[in-house]
Amino acid sequence: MWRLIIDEGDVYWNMAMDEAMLLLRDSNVIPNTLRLYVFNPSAVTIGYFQRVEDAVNLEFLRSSNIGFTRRVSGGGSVYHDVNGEVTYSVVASINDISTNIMDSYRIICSGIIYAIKEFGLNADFIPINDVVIRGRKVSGSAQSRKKNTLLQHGTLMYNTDLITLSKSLRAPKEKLLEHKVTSILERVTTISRELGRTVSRDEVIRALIKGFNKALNTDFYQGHYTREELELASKLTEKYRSVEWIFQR
Amino acid sequence: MDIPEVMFMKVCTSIKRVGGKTVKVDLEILNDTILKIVISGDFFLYPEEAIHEIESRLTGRKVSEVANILNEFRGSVEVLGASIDDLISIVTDAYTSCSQE
Repeated sequence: MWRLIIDEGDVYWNMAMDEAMLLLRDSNVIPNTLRLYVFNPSAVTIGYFQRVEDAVNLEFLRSSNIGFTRRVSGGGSVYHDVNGEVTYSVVASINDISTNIMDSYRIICSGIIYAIKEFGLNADFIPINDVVIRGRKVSGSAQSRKKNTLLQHGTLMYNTDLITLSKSLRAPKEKLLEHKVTSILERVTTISRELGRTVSRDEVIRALIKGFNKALNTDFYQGHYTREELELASKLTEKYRSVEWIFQR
Repeated sequence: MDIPEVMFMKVCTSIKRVGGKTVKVDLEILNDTILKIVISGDFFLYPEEAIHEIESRLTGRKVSEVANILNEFRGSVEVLGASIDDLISIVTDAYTSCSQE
């Protein structure tokens, strides 16, 4: 049985806690955990290898007071809407998921697909890390690994403000052309948009728990952070706030 | 009278979409020697910290040595959304598309 934690925090806390859990799971001092959380206030995360100026619209983020930081995982930039997106983190022993990185993406992303099915919608996994509904991205994930442990975190957009998303993030022109569309707005969607009704955060959290129950073939008990997690996350928060970390490339 | 060697500082960039991901290489070159290199994008590379070793190993080396140096990372790093061959090709493209400063 895995631990389930439901949380809400700012961008620095959220990324610090994900890294703290990755490190402490790798030291075998915490159990496999599904963490479901919200970014409050809304914020942006960028991939480990991205250059800030290529990944986000800095001017817009500053004028809109939207905070951002760099993730420990690769992949692209993400807008996390406090009122429209739930983020998941799976922190687990690699041996409990798959030693093959691509297989582990597929297994964990199937939890998102099952969650979307709870709303009566069909979704597809598009390797490496996307889940789409009718060709439009509704979820993106990124995975980081230590010796024995993986952290995969990702989004599920249920009612994201897609205008703010499109103004916050920069997508390379070539990426848009490859998708044969002209803007981020046209290549992403939300569960509410697909259903034609406003879906609540609680509905999404319930669906995600059911989805990961199927995908990971495990039950969950609702637990709490350990003292070690809280202390390490508090320390790491300073890193995620620092200019040296955020603007390292 | 000795004629001083002319030093050319070049700044080069190449961006490519490979395997659904974007890889960008920014190079600063002085007389064919890499002064600075940054490999960026939305790809995945495991372990992530290896990117710093790759950039560090390429710094101070000739552009002609890039393929050999990157080939040494085969087996120790796994790249998703791109490959070591892609990285070699994008660094080479960046160099050939260099603009003189």
